[in-house]
Amino acid sequence: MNKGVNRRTLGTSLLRLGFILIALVVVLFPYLWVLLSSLKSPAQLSRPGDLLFEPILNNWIAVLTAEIPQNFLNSLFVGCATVAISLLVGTPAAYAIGRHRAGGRLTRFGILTSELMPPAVLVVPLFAISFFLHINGSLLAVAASHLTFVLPVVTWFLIGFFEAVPNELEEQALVDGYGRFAAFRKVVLPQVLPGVAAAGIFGFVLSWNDLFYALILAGGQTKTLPVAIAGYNTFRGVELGEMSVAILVAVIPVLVLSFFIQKRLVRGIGGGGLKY
Amino acid sequence: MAGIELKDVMKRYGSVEAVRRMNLEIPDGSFVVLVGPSGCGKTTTLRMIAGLEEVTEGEIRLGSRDVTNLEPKDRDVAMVFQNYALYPHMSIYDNIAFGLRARKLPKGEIDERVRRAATMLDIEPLLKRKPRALSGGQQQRAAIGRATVREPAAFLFDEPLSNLDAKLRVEMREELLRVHKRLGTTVVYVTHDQEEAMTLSDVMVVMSDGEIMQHGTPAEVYLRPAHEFVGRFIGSPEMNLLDGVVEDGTFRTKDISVSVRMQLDGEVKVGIRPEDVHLRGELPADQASEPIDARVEIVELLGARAIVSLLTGEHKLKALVEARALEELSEGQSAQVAFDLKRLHAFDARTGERIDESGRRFYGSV
Repeated sequence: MNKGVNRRTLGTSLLRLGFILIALVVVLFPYLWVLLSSLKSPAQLSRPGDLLFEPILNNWIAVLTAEIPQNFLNSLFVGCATVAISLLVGTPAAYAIGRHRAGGRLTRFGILTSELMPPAVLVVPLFAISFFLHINGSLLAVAASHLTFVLPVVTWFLIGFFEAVPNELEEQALVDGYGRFAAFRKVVLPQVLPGVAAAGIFGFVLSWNDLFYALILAGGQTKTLPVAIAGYNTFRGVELGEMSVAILVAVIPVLVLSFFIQKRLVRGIGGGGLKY
Repeated sequence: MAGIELKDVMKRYGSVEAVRRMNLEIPDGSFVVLVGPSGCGKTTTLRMIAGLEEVTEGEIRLGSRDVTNLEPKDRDVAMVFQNYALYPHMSIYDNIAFGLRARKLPKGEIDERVRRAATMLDIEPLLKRKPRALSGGQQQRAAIGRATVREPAAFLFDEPLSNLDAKLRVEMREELLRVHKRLGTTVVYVTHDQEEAMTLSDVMVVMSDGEIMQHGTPAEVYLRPAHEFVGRFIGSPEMNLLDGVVEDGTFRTKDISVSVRMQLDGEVKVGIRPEDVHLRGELPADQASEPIDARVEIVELLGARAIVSLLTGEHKLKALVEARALEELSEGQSAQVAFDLKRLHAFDARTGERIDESGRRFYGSV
């Protein structure tokens, strides 16, 4: 009987291992490919079947001394601005919806309806508005457009965290001698700070990855990374080597940030769940 | 320190009246317990006194001040919640000092008061820790310390002992009484546990369905319940209640017939507490009712006493007897019991109000 159990467990383990390996390969292979491509000359890139090659740094040098660093900073600015405004507005909003049921039951999920809207619908009005405000082509316009999809998500994400804070905690602060705003600041907010950090990172990644709005609303000096990467697809053909470098420059920060918030992501989507 | 007065206070949520027109005077320095089953309005009343719920109608006075429309922070009351509501991100010291800092007291005085409160409640070594590092009993004490340190006009407790195990609960009850004796501050305490109400209160306010059913000392409420509800709710095991008719001085049900010393006639509900149901022969003849035939169904030994569940043909009776009486009783056996006639209660069959010996209906002491 012992042997039978062992065999079954061994089989299951092998099967599991197999699936995990496949998943790993599927996920990691593209990154590996891009990394390798970044070290190849155009000639080697045209022969993808070759397993061995001599790595060169030309692509890296070319890309990092050109515009990519500026694009990186542009993306960074847009991401930070978007997140800052989203948190500033979204945190109190999430509090109102989560704690005081502002807007009723529909609001809690209703604010996500803006996510369903195709960007193509909004981009023309946004372009027109930025033109009339004389900010067209600026990073501010891009950040403003990013708010249309980052702010709702950040707010929605935070609602669960606010709901998890027991009402008694806030009420205790009220009886102890603080007004509602002070009670929010001193007692409620500290409880949701981990959620706020996660929401901020989540929102940043959403903004960082946007191609559509950045493509249409900015350009030239204000190009963001996704746009720059797309730019390597020229009329002469795809400049794969340099594009790969740009891709890595764009992807690595996101990987690092995502690693830090993976736990909190589950909590936020699951609806808070802080323990007391 | 101040007394509290509720004048015609009413709380309505939409069409539901959670608290019906309530008038209550709480004398300065007394320990008043609002007791009743879930949903009776006791917590709503407490929250209205604290300012956490708006009063639909009526007035609340704290001492000489009309606090009805004041924010909680301006009322000078301290509250302790059932789950202690200690701020998890702050140390115990900061938790206790929180209210004092809100009032912008000087640092030195805050420190002195916090340490004094902590010493009084035996939690001085825990001041640097965070709430999650404390046991339930310690958290409870920290919450009480946070309330006492403010030296408020009144303490409001919302079922503070419900989260503790039985033994701790008894310990904390004594602790609360000690604190109350020491500080003399008015206390309004909400609980659903009738034993807590009995042991802690100077004055008990028994509530049901948004109304005060009776309001008096524990002895008054226990010995002379103003309503059938109060008789049943207070006292454990529960009072026995029998529906029957009184004719010519005899109370009759299908299988019970006892003479009663009440000026009554007609349908009535008679109540008798389990400790007033005796085995035949235990009561002096002038106090004992006629014997009632019953069969012992269940015996639950408590230690020095036992709860005996009896069945007459129609009724289930509970008797609370001394353990030694069990020598004569065992499950399944027949027995004869008698009621202590001096301790019979009579309630109106329709309204449930108490009918006293002279036949007068009397409704609590609101």
